[in-house]
Amino acid sequence: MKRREFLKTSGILAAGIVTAPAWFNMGYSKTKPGSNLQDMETLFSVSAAEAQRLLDRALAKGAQSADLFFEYRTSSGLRIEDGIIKDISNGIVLGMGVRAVQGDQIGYAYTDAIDFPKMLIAAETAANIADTANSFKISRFQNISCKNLYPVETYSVNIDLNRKIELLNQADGAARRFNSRVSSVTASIADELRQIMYFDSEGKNFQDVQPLFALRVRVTAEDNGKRQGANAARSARAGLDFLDKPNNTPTVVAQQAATIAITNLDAKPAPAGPQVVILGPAESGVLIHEAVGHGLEADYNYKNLSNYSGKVGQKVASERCTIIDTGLLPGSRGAINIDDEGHLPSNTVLIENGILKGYMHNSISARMMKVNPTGNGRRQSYAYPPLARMTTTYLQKGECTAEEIIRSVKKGVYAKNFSGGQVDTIKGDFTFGVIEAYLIEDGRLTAPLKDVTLIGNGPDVMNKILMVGDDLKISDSTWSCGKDGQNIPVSVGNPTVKISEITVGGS
Amino acid sequence: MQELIKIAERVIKEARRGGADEVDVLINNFTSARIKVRLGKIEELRQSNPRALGIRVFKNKRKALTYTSDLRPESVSTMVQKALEIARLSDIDEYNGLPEGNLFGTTKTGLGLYDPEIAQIPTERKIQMASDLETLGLKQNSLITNSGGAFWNDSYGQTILLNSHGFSGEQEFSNCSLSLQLVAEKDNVKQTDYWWSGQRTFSKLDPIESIAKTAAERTARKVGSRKPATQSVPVVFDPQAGADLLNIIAAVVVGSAIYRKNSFLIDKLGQSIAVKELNIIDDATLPGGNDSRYFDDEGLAGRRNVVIENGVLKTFLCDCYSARKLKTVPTGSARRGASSEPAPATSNFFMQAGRYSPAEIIGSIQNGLFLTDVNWVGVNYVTGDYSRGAEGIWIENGKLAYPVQECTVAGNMFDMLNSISMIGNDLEFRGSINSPTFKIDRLMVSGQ
Repeated sequence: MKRREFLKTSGILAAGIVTAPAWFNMGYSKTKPGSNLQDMETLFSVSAAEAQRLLDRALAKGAQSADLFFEYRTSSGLRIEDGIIKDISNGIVLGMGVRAVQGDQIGYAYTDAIDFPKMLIAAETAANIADTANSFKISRFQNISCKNLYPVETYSVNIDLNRKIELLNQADGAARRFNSRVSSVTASIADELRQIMYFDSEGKNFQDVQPLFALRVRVTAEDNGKRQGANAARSARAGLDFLDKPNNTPTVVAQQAATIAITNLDAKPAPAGPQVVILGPAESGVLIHEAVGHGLEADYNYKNLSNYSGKVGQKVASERCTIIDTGLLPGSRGAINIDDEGHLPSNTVLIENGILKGYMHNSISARMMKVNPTGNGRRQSYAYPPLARMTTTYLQKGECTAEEIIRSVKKGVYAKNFSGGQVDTIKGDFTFGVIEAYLIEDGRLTAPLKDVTLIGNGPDVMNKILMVGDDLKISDSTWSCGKDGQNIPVSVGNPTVKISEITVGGS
Repeated sequence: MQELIKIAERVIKEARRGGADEVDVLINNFTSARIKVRLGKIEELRQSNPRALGIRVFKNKRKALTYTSDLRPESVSTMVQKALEIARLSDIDEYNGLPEGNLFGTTKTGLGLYDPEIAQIPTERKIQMASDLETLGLKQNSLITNSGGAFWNDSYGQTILLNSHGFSGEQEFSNCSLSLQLVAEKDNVKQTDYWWSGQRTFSKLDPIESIAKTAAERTARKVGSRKPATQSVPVVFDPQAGADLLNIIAAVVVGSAIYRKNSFLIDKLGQSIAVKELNIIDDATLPGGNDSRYFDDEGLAGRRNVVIENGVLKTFLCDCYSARKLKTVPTGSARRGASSEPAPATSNFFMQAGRYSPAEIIGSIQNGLFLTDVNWVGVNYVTGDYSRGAEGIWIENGKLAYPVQECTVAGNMFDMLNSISMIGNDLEFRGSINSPTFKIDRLMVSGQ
C-alpha cells in the first residue's frame, strides 16, 4: 500500500528463469531488432491485419489512440547453496496488453492466452475508457528501426546449463577458499530473454529482443560468535561472456561479497546526527536515483505531485551537478533499444550545472506538457501500462580526485555500498541504506561501520554537494526500480561525491 | 475450474510417466480490476485475468521447477518434459520431496475467504466509490490542495494444488480495497499521506467517510514538520510503525532464514528474547483474515502457531524443506507463486493486544517520539541492527506536540524487544501483519 518509489538490489532468491522453446532454436542467435517480424507474428499468432482489427476495436468508443504490446519472456534460474545445485528452474510468460488513451485517461486490459477472440475482448475492455463520438483513423504501420545496444553472440538462456553450474561452483569455491571465516555461500544465475512486439494507432510498429543476465553471490562470515552477511552482484543486457571480463568473474564477485562480510565482522556503530559524508563511486548513484530521479519523472510533474514541479529553469542543486538519464549505454541493465511505446531512448540532461532543464517523459506526459517524448515510457510487462521511468541515471564527473576528496575531511562517514533507497516524491524526502561504510578520521578511512540509513531532502542535499570526483562509474549491480507496483531493471552511476552535511541514522 | 484441474491431473500423469518420483502442480487463476480516479476524472481503468501454472518434479532426491502462463496442452507438456530434463542437473538433496502423506489439509469452507458479491459489483459502482472517496477527502481540510488519486482494487479467483500423493485442493479467495492519497501544501512545502481499507468481503470495507477522514487527518497533521534534535528518547510505535517491526520479526523466524543463518534468532529457540508481556502469533485460520488459508502451498493444513509466548521464542515457521533441514516439523507455512519454489512465510502475523490505551502510552512520556511511518532500508537481519528513516509527531509532557520528519530511529532488535514497556489495546486486523500501539523505552533519534 506504500505509495513510495524505491530502488533496491534484487535479492539472491529472486524467482528463477529457464528455457529454449521451439522458436528459440531457429536461428535466433544474432537477432537484430526489427529484422524478425515474420517470426514474431508466428510467435504471437497475429498478423498486421489482425493487429489493425484489435486497434480498431480499442478505438471503437472514441479513444484518441491505442496500442498493443505483445511479450514472450523465457527465463532460467540456477542456485547453489551449501555447495550443491539446489534450485533449477525454467519458465515462460507470454501475453498481450491493449491500451486505449483519451487525454491522460487510460483503459488497459491484457490476456495471457494467445488467442485472437481473447485479444478482442481485451481490446473491447480497454476501449471503455472513452465515451465520445470521435472516430480516429489508424495510420499505416511503419516499422521503426533502431540500433542494437545489446548484441549478443549466444543468448545465455541458450547455453548449456552445465556451463552455468561450473560458474556457480567457481563462485562457491572462491568464497570458501578466500577466508576460513566464510561459513556459508549462496550463488545464483538468473537470465531472461524478453521478445516484444508493438503496434499503435499512430502506425508505430517495432520489435525488440531484450536479454538480461544476473549473477548474485551471498556470503556469511563468522568469527568468535560474531556473524555478518553480504551480497555482491553483476547484471547486464549481455550473454554469459559478460562474466569473462576481469572485474566480473564469479571468483571476483564472490571475493567481493566475502570481503564485505569479513570487514563488517568488526563494524562499529555509526555516529548519529548530521555528518560530512563522502559517497564512493558507482553504487552511490542510488542517491541520484532517489534524491533527483524519481522527482523528475514527468507524470508526477504535470500533476504537481513532485517537489520539482514547476521548477524548470530554477536552481535545484549545487552548480557542480549535471545529471543525466540515458537509455543508450550499450549492454547496461538500464539500456533499451526503444521504449515500450515506440520512442527511441535519449541522453536526457535533467540538471545542468545545478539548473533544472527538464523531465523524463512517456507519451502521455509529453503530450500533457507539450514537449517531445524522451524515450522513458517503460512497463514491467504486458500486464501493465507504461509509466515515465528512468533508465541509467548518473551525475556527470567533476575534477577532483577521490584521494583529495577523502583527504579534505577531518571527521565524517565514507559510504561505499548500498542496499537501496526510497523517496516520497511529493515532499522530496529520501532515505538510502548503507551496507558498507567507514569512519573518516583526519583524511583517512578507518573503522568499518554498521549498517545505517541516511536521510535527507532532495534539493537540500543536492545543494550541499561540495566536491565531485573525476571517477564516474556506472554500477553493474542488479538494481531494480519500483513504481506504482511495477518493477523494472535500471542502472545508476556516480563519481566520488562529498556532501557537507546529511543526517546519518547511527545509534 | 474443472478444466484447470484436468490440466493439473494431466501434468501429474505425464510427469510420472516421464519418470518423476513425485510431482506437484500449482495453478493460480484470478480476475482483477484496478480503477484510479484523480481530481474527479478516471485516470486508469484496468482489468485482467492473470493465470499461471507451476510444476515441481522430484526424481532420486533431485528436483526442478518449471512454469508457464501459456496453458495450451502442448505448451504445458513441453514444460513437464523440461522439468524432467533439467532436474537431472540438480544435485541430490536428502531433504527434497513432497510432504509426507498424513499431513495434508483439506478443502473446507467457513473461513470467509471468498465473497461472491465482489465479482458482481458493476464497474460504474466501483468508479463511483473511488470518486466519492476522493471528493470527500479533498473537502476535509483547507490544507488539502491536491490528490494523488483514489483507488479501487479487487481480485478474486482460485488456487489449485494437486500432487502425486493424491492431494487435490482448491481454495477460493477474494479481496477488495479502497485507498486515497492526499496532498497538503503550506509555505511551498508539500506533504502527503494516504489511508485505505481492504477486506476479503465487500460489506466489511470501512465506510468511505472514515477512509477519507483518516487520509486527510494523516496528511494535514504533517504540515509544519520540523527536523528533531539528535537524542536518545522513548519511542511509541503506532500500529503502522509497529507492523513494520513485526515485518522484521516475520523475516527472521522463518526456517529458511534460520538454516541460511540470515537471522539474529538462529540459536534462540526456547529462550527468552523479549519482555514477558510480548506474545506474537501467526494464525492462518483467522476468519476473514487477509492471509488465511485452508491449506498452504504444499497442501498442509493452515494452522495457528504461537511464535513468541510470554517473551519466549517458541517455534520457527517452516515449509517441508526447512523443517527437514532443521529436524523439526512443518508449520503449514509454505508459500509460493507458480514461478517460485515454496518458502516459509507468515500468514496473519500479529502482536497480541495489551491493556493500555494509546493516550495512556503517549501520556507516559515527557519527551519522546510518536513514530507513524518508517522507510524500509537499514535493518541487518543477521545482527539485528536497526536504523530506519522515520516520521512522526514529537511528544512533549505526555501530549502530541508537533510533526517531525527527516530523522531516523536506530537501535538493536534484541535491546528493542527487551525494552517494550507498554502494549496497547488497539489491535485491529487491517492487513496481513498487524500490531497494536506500543512503547520502546529508548532509541536513538538522529536529526539535527
